[in-house]
Amino acid sequence: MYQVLSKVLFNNELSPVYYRMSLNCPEIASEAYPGQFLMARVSKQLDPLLRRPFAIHSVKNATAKEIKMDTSSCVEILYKVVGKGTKVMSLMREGDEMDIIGPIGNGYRLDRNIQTAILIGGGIGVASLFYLAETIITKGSKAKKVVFLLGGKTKDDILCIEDFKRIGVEVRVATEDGSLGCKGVVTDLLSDYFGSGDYTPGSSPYCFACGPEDMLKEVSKVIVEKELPCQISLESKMACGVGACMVCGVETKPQLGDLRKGTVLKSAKQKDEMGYKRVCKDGPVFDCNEIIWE
Amino acid sequence: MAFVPPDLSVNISSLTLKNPIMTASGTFGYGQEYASFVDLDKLGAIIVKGISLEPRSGNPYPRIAETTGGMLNSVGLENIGADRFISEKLPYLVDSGACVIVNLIGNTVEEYCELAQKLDKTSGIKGLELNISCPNVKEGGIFFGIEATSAFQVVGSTRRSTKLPLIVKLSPNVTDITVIARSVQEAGADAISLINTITGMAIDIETRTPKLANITGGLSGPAIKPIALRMVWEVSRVVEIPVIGVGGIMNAEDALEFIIAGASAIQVGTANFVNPKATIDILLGIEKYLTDKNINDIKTLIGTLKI
Ligand SMILES: Cc1cc2nc3c(=O)[nH]c(=O)nc-3n(C[C@H](O)[C@H](O)[C@H](O)COP(=O)(O)OP(=O)(O)OC[C@H]3O[C@@H](n4cnc5c(N)ncnc54)[C@H](O)[C@@H]3O)c2cc1C
Ligand SMILES: Cc1cc2nc3c(=O)[nH]c(=O)nc-3n(C[C@H](O)[C@H](O)[C@H](O)COP(=O)(O)O)c2cc1C
Ligand code: FES
Repeated sequence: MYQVLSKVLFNNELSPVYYRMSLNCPEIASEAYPGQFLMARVSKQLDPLLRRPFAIHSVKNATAKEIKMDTSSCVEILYKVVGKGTKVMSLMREGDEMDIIGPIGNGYRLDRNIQTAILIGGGIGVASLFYLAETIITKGSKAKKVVFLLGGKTKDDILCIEDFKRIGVEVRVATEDGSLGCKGVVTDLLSDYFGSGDYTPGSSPYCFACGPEDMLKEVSKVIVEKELPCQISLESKMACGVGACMVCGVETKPQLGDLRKGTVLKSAKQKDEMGYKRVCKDGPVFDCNEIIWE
Repeated sequence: MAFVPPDLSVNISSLTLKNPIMTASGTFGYGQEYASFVDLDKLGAIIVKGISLEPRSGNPYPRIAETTGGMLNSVGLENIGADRFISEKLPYLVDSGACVIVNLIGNTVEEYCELAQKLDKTSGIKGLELNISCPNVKEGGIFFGIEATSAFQVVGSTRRSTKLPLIVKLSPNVTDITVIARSVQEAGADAISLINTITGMAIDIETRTPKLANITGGLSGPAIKPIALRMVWEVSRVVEIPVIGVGGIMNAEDALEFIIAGASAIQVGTANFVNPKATIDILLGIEKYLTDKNINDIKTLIGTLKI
């Protein structure tokens, strides 16, 4: 993990509230993998005080030749302006500096033998899924298929679909108001997929999901029923981002084998054993079976 | 004449620290989390997250809300418990060469004593910091740290349970902190650290719900610095034992204010989240200040406020 005073290479407005920013940080770029994130200090002053977490959206590692020419390696983030910190970021220009820490966390675990991957995203959840799609497509076995199911409130919340198509991903979109793709939510797309001829029971596609908590909860239900593996990337408010402060957390089930079958968890001590996990250090990507949804 | 770097060492009772910079409990994990940013042995001491006899799972989420110039937290007493701390976390810290001080939490006087005895027998621990802002269950949920008699009792009993240097950390949520400070000194504390967080709250006006699941939480960060500084000054004037300043220290200037006010050492908390190298930056800044001012021993700066 590194702390880098990175240069902003570009900070492009994709739509009124969505931006894509490229940050020059060779150390982080060379070690990052999909699902990991950065903690960005958006102001040199003390307001906003805490760092903001952002998923790594894409990584460009310079070739040896480019390094000689000083065209450096960078990471990209995709962000939505929602409050004070992201507002400050949206005003940054090329050449400005931002202090970032990364790469942080346990990202998506990739099996080299993935044949079919289903990526399920809601809104800004596309941020980490794009880097994942790029990695699945460029690494591992040849014959593979990546399907991306994306949901959003309106067409303005549907980002990057051309980027996904460009790298060979099959994209299906749903919006709640029907302004793009089919009218509905992302779990409708998922149910349709499982009901269609594209899915052969027993073919075990790998599922990966990133988006709002309610969406992840619904997606998990559908996938757990199919008994398919699914990794989900969670969000939580954070302070340190390095596992030290215990403010980020999620309630998880005991690891298989920790408890004898049929144990009912009642006492406080047993609950401690079930444990909370830190989203920043143990996650942000978890197996969907691990999470206890409220 | 050859340049002689200033002497940064300070004494906290029988414990000599190589410099006055410590990490504040709960903000630096068990040290290892920050090892990619800070050489742990460069700091005066590492105070680890509060440890209780048994593991605790803490409060519900959300446990954090950012406020202007600060943050509220309601982590509660979540920790892995003394046994796992000793077997899983302590060896790394000791190997790193850090001076390790353990922050203690308990529900009852007996629990504090048992914990102190256990840690007293563990090698590698250089001191204890008693967090007395925990509920005293036997007396119906009041805090040990807000009432002089119960503070005296818990500090006195813990004192008799260990030979390690004993620092007592005070809560600012009291009417007159000097009363508590005096009784803690009388009960045998070797040093006093202050302040812990100040109780506060924040509300989401869209949903009309508290921003913390626990409703209230502890405020830390730059917003509390003037209060912490005032309390350090008040306490250092009425006790003989060393005082350790904590609260909103973000840079070397802040740290120097506390030292001038009467603190023999300082702790860095929330600043670690903002800048993981804050402790080292503060150390370098203090060294530069002393050099620029031709002060060759930091001890001569402690409590030199001119009024
Ligand atoms: C692992 C992880 C990856 C993320 N990746 C992205 C991404 O790629 N793109 C993107 O746009 N957003 C992402 N987020 C959410 C992003 O961190 C928040 O939108 C951002 O912190 C809001 O800051 P603000 O100052 O604009 O909002 P404010 O509401 O003013 O922030 C106040 C406080 O709440 C925290 N906060 C607010 N919303 C969130 C949230 N959803 N998650 C966590 N903390 C929050 C802030 O960090 C800050 O401490 C991610 C969050 C996590 C945990
Ligand atoms: C997330 C968090 C956890 C904390 N946990 C503890 C703890 O376990 N024991 C303790 O004595 N103080 C704890 N504190 C209080 C700090 O050690 C410190 O006294 C306080 O934050 C004020 O200093 P600061 O403004 O520099 O952060 C905690 C503070 C924070 C922010
Ligand atoms: S943000 Fe501090 S432990 Fe996760």
